[in-house]
Amino acid sequence: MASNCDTQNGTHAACLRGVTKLFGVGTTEVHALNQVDFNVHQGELLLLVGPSGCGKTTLLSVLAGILDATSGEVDVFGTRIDQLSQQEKTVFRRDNIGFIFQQYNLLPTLTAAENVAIPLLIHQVPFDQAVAKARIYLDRVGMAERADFLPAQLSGGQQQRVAIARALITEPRLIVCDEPTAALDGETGKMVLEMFRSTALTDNRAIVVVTHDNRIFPYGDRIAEMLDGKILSIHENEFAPSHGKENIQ
Amino acid sequence: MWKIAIKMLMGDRSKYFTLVSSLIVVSFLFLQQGSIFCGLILRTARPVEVVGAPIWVCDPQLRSVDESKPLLDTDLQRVRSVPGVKWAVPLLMQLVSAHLPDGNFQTVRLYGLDNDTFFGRPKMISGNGRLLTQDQAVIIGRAESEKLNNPKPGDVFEMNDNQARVVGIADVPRDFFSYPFVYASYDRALQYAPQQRKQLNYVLVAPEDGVPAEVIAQRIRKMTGLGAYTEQEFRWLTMDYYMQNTGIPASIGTSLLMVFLVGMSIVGQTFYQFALQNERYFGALKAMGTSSATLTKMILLQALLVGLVGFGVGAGLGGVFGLFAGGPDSKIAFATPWPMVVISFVAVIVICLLSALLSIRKVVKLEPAVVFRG
Repeated sequence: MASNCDTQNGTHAACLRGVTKLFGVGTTEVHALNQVDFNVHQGELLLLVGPSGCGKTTLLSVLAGILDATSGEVDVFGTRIDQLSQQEKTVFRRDNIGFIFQQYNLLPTLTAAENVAIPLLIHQVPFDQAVAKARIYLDRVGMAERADFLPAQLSGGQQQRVAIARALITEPRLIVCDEPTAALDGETGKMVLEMFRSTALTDNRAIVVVTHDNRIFPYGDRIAEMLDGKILSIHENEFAPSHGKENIQ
Repeated sequence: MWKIAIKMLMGDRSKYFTLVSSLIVVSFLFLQQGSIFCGLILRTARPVEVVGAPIWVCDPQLRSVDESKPLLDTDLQRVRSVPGVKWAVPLLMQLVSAHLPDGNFQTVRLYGLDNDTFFGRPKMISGNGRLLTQDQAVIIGRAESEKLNNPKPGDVFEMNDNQARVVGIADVPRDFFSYPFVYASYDRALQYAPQQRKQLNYVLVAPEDGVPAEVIAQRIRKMTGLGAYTEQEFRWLTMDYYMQNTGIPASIGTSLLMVFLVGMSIVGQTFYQFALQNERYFGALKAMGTSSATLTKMILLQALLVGLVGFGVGAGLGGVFGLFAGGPDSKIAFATPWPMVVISFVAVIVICLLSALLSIRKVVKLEPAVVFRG
């Protein structure tokens, strides 16, 4: 399906070759991913869609290096992450990947600014500096006034904006999002995707979004459809705001 | 990440309160039970402590100050002849039955002090200690004197059918057996104590100036074949005897073990619940690039923090308890030597660290992919 992979020279962000993921053994064995070949281009927002249980989240987890594939090659920005040790993968994720979760996963006892600062703290940036930078990123997502609020004091859309700021603060080259609009109403979901495009998407960064939500399909540059652990099709989205950009192949 | 760890811990107020309050109770009970153990054991050596002699000479087979294995009267002269002995005086110490004016009987610890020096006489609270030279004169220790109907100078009672007249009350704290202390001159004490072939229980010795007591004690042992101990050694001999021959260590040790186990189960369970409740947040931190080693350190910091706060408050409460319930006159034996504080602190920290291990195991094994599970 995707035969040429160039993650070294700025064309591709990630390439997966023959990736298989098995869960269980014997009679309970399940092919969550079955010989998946798949490329992610730099500068694109790619939507992974398909019915529940088709392997979208598993594929996203393997791509992000938080789940080991049973077999196959996973190349992200020129690094074969399937060959890295757990410790090396942890460092790779810290330096290259941003995460946005369905349930936001904001630590409930930290303020919005402190939550956003976490990736910097993981990089051992001093607390005060990290929080100061977090406020700048919160400002970018329109949350500056709520920087000192706890997650419980924020709406779902506001929490997701905080999560976006958290994912962006270390300027990662790949951002993976799992159902980022599942817990949001339609308008808020659209606003979040618009924010992805306006603040997160750059020429040297890729965003991969797993979603069921067909209301946000127009925001993807490409849409990959999955079924039973396989990629059924990948097609460019002619309605995408960036349609016609040169680097979309 | 330390601040994040602390905020994660303290932000969950109910868990934090449960952890700290459990550790306060554990620390308090540990320190309180341990201090009662120390207090009881220290009281066994009180009969030695109140005399204040640098060296005690006794029968070589003696195992504690409360055993009665009298010496020959000539042993006093033999000890005096040992080079380096500045002075040596006799001491009679026996348990004697006192017949009180109201008809009751009460066992008392009778000290017969050297007729000339009255060495070993405690500090007087009332009356006149010098009157011990008078016929029938005795001094009563303050603690437990209520068992002798709180006698005042001038009051009388009998011991071994001989009248004793109180000439003063001395400052003597309680001992392990809670017997009233009665002091008389050595000759008078011989009349109050039941007659035996040998009556001299101890020879109290002071070394020449500048000569260590240990050296003289060793010399006395070598030259006389008698038992000789420095005051410190004799106190430990007595305390060791009671630790080995009574159920005190086992009884209080069992209590401490129960406190330890109950504390660990509560704290361990709460910590584990904390880890379970925060599983997806730990997963998110892992996904974002936090190493297992950092997460382990964060949990250890949380454990140490609750341990320190819990121990601080618990030990403080233990101190307050000791202040009000303990003391030399209290019926509750309570002493908190610094090793007891250190042991209690170590026990609390061990509880915290062992409890944290459950959480650490959970978090280290946690797959970061858990964050993508709905």
